[in-house]
Amino acid sequence: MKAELSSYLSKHRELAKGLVDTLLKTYEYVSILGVDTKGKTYAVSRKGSSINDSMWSERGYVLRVFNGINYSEYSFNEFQEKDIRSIIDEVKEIVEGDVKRLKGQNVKFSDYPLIEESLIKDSLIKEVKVLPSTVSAKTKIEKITQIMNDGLKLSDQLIDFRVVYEEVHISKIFYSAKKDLSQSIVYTTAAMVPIVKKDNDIKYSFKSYSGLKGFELLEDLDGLEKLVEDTIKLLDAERVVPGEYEIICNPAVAGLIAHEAFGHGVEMDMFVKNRAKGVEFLGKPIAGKKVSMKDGALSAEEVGTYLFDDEGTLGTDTTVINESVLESGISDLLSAMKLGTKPTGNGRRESFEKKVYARMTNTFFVPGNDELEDMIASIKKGYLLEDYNSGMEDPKNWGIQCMIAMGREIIDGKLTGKIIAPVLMTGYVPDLLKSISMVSDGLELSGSGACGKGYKEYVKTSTGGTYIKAVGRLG
Amino acid sequence: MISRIVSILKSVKNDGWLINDTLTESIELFFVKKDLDMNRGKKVHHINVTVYVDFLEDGTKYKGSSTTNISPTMSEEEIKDSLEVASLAAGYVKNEYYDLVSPSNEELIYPSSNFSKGEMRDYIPGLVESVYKVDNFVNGKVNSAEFFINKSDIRIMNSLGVDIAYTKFTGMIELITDWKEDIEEVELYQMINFSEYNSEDISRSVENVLNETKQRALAKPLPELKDVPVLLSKGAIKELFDYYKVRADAKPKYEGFFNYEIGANIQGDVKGDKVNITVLPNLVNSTKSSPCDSNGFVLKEVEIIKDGLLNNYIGDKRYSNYVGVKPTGVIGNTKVAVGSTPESILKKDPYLELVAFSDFQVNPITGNFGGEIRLARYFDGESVTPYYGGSITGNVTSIQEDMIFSKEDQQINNFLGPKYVKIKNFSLTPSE
Repeated sequence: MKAELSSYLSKHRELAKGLVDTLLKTYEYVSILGVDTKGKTYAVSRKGSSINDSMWSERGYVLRVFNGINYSEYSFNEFQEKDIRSIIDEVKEIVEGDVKRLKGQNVKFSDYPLIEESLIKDSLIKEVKVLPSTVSAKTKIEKITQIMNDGLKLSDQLIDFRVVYEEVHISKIFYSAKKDLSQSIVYTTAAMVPIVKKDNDIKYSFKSYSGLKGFELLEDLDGLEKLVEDTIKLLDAERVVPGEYEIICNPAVAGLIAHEAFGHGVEMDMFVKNRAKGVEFLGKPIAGKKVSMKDGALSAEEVGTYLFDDEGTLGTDTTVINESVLESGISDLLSAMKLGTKPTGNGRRESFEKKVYARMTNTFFVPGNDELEDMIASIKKGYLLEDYNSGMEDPKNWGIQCMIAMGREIIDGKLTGKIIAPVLMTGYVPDLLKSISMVSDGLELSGSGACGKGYKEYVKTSTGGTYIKAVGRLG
Repeated sequence: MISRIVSILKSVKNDGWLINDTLTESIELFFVKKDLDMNRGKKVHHINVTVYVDFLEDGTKYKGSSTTNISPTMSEEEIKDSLEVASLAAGYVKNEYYDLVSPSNEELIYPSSNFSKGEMRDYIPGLVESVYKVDNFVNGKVNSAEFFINKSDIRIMNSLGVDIAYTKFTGMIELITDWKEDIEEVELYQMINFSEYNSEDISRSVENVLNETKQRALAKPLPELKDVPVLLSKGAIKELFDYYKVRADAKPKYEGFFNYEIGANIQGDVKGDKVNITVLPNLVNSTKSSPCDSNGFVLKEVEIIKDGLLNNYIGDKRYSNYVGVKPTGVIGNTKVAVGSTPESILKKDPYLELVAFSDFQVNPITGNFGGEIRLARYFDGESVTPYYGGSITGNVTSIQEDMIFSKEDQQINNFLGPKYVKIKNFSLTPSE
């Protein structure tokens, strides 16, 4: 089934183009991004349920205008023929009035060249098996309620088994003097969250699913028994004795390392600010010989996939690390112009209301040839780290913080059955990457969460990889 | 627009509705070093409508609800479609019955802001100057700064006659500072939230973080330290007390996470300072001040934890109804009582002060906490040495009986509480 472009954007496309064409009579560069994202989130728990619009739902526009020195932007969401005059007045106030006032206050401006574009007209209409809009709310809530009930039957220790399903249909148009682009993409995500209690001790875990899929994603939800079993084991988990260990990271944790520990450090707006240590390693070995890493809207088919980014740059497939050598960063348009590099189509906004930053899309370690069994067998004393709760980047100094959900003890090449949780992995990124000695086959990506920059600017990304063996500091 | 929606709601099946209408204008500046990299503005209108549908199933009454965003560009037909989809969905949302918020005669405590005295644009030069006037060091600087001022006109209405409108100003500066001494350049991150224009406060915060960045540049890797108490500071303290707020929240009680009765001992056998927490609708310079919650429930100050015991539940009308307590609404500001020990006494004996983290987190459900240390100050009894790296982990239940709160306070946006909390019984992982 085709995910057609929103009828609203289709109808208002000419109005948006007219606004840009009018502004182009005054300003040398003008572009408009129009967004109409529709989505719903369905959630069930033992004590209630909800069906609400997705947090990603939005409809609005952002204009980017060259102000003679650099770029100014105006975001708005009231846009009919009658609003054109007031929008132009607002743009004038920001592009001319504010700039003049700030100059008058002796504020110095960072200058940018005029954006030069090639003539491009293109569109992307993605397809899914079952468009979410063709399935009733009743069917969706009944389906996830059934999964919840199946989960709740598995243990008396469960105080809840929550299931969340989200469907998002993104429609975007981009128009400038030379570009006329549109895209329509559907993705869905889901998560199962068992919560167990023993005395006053409460533990929970989750298993998530995502993809450029429709309602059919819910057919992927599996492994309830193992999920509940592992969550119950957390009740008896011990804290790790702080120290350095041989570790195997499952694809989720490997993805966290690729994303948080490394990916943020090669976002090239950080290069412009001299905030990224990655600059020092360009063209140099940064990781173990078996390590290659990719990012890009076209590097995988997941929630970070698109035809064009929020600046109208076409998405690419970027090899960030090639067999240990740091080859390239990922870039938005303005940063690339400042650095004299080619933009990689990574300019993304949290919403039409927000500024563009260089952001990841689909980020992952490229699969290798090692077998997981061999990796476990090679460890004298260490842990198999599985899943995570959060991570935080430190692109300048390349410290890492990964809050890992659980670790399975390995002694003399065998899993002992002992669980540690939670686990805080810290350290220095190049040390961790260089310590990667084995990489398994079988790429797994997850796009169920959201990625922030600092403590804001959330965008959908997918991360992942394979099983990797490394050395990590756990606490 | 609102009257159109209310009119359309009359033709859509519902047993009640709630409208949250927010019109926000902003001015935003983005600096790299001292140069303006981009300026932005926005004017956006957000309308969220919740449609409620009551139904009976097996003799039990339920209240379903579904919230949808109504865009100001939606046609009459689109609005009706969205509301009908929400109404239909609400019919499948099986939540125990509860009452909607009724209009109240309680006095509304409106958030105040000196930003209201002029145009938002007038304050931008002063805010920029307040950051850069203290950016005068040779080895360190403001690497980048983002400035945001928002004015939001908020209106909350429901089908029972609630109709509350107020204006709110919020500001935010995101700041990256860097510093280079002998080895490599380092950076720290700071987010300053405010609702009052106070350039001196902002300058002080910037100067403070610049000095901390200098210390980070001079810091050594955290060595193994045994039996040294830790002084938590800044945002870590705000995170810590969320553990107690969750235990006083009606929602997790209803969901079966906790089952404390009023008067229950939350903090254990306290040998240190007892926890006292009040939530307040209005706190000067907080961006979370509000006369009512998003359901239109009028807010008042509530003391939730008194001397380590549960004193009052907090919760919106729905969850308070469920657990049979008096609703308080969702209140955005927290005040934690300070202790009686001055900073000078807390710092008399050896201590490790944790100044900055990558991201200090407390899981309010499990009580587990942890974070990678970006800057710490260790006092060995004679001198103070800055350290970085390594991490702290632990559980609130292990530290809560021995916590000592400083006499001095601090405000971090919507949190007012002790400047320092001294803890023991945690795990410190050295950097190397």
